[in-house]
Amino acid sequence: MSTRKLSLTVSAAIAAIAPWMAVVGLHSAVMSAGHPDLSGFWEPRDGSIQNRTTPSYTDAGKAELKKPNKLNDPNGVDPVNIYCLPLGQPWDLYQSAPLDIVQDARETTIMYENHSLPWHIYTDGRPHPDAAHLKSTLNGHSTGEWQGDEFVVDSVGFSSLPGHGAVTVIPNNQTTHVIERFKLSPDGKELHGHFIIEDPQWLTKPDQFDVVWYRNPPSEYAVPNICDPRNTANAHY
Amino acid sequence: MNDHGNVRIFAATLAGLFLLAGLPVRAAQSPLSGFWKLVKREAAAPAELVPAAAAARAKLKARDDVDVEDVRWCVQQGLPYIMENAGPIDIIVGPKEIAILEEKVALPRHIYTAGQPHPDMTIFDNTPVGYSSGRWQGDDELIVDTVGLSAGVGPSNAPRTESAKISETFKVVGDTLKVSTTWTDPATFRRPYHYTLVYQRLPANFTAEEAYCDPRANGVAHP
Repeated sequence: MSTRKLSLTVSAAIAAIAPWMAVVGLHSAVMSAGHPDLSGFWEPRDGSIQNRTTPSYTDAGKAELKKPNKLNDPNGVDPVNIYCLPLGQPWDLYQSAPLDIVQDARETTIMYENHSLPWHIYTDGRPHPDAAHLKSTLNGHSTGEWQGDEFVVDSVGFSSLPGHGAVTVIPNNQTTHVIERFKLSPDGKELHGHFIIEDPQWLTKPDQFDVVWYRNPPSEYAVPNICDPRNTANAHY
Repeated sequence: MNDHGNVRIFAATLAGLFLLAGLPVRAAQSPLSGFWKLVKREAAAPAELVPAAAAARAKLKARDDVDVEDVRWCVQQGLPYIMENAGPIDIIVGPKEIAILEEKVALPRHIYTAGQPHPDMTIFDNTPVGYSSGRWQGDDELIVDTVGLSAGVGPSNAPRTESAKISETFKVVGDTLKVSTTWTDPATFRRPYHYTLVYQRLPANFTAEEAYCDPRANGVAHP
């Protein structure tokens, strides 16, 4: 059989079983790279954060919680919003604005529509830099890999810069370690995330919770929120 | 159809079978994917402005002054700043969208490549990056059209107005990326303004810097 005839035969076979694929929802859960297709716009809803463990703080964590923060400030002052400071992951992943996921074999990015910094998740097999070369940043250094049908992201190297931390209102630090597992629902309409926050400086045991995002329609497009601190109220320089 | 075409059809159908069987298939990585550093900007001719735009440009501060002022306040920039002034760009080529990320105080670019429904531009809120749709021409050329830009600073210090349209052709040859760019805006240019941006591919293990901008520090990025 010639190459073309074989190809046409195989194509016909795929066409024949396509309706069955549609019935079981497989068509929406695969992509050309052979992994579930997480790409597109996703949005949380009320109740999207689920199964959150009660954080178990170290003494240092308890002391840190008593420092002024956006939750205990009677004026509700949040410097992040007043000064348009960048928001970082994982905190911005489960806020109200949509996320947009773009993946190729080399890298994945998850873009948050509010003022944030690009999040680079390297999927080319590189390890985290060793401690001597690990530069602390708001989003940390993130690597991702597929474990079956789960996309697993491991992040280290967080800075203590304002931008909301992984552990409620406490800033991240160099001991913060975040593991995020993303999995598509069988019908492709929901994205389920499981977060594990390890931070021996602030926590006596890992904090864990789940987040559900809902797929936005294909007509969704990014609407950037441009924050200009010259226009924000209560900004003092 | 030639033998090359037959082989591509066969490869595609074989990949489909692997997918059905649940076997891993690694998609070919687009050569466009990666980190790129701008090394050259070429324009055959300077931008020719209509009188009103020339006057507006004269009233504007020099482009650098305007951008430095905004960047000093950590206000995220759009086009053309992203492609020319925001440090290395990182291009991620997804199945439905291409993302272009930058390092310095800039919005990400979203280029929709799957024929997504175009937004109703009568209700579209113009932004510094506008709305970009892309299509592949052959295997190695990406054509990107952008509309819906907000007023600001355009190429060569010219005003960027809401009627501006940008057409870009991305083409990779070896480790060089050329982005042929044309701005069309009757409110600004006498005729379409063409220029080409030339980028060099950065090493595969390149890691993005993070430019955290805090206006309290006068826009000085610090880690």
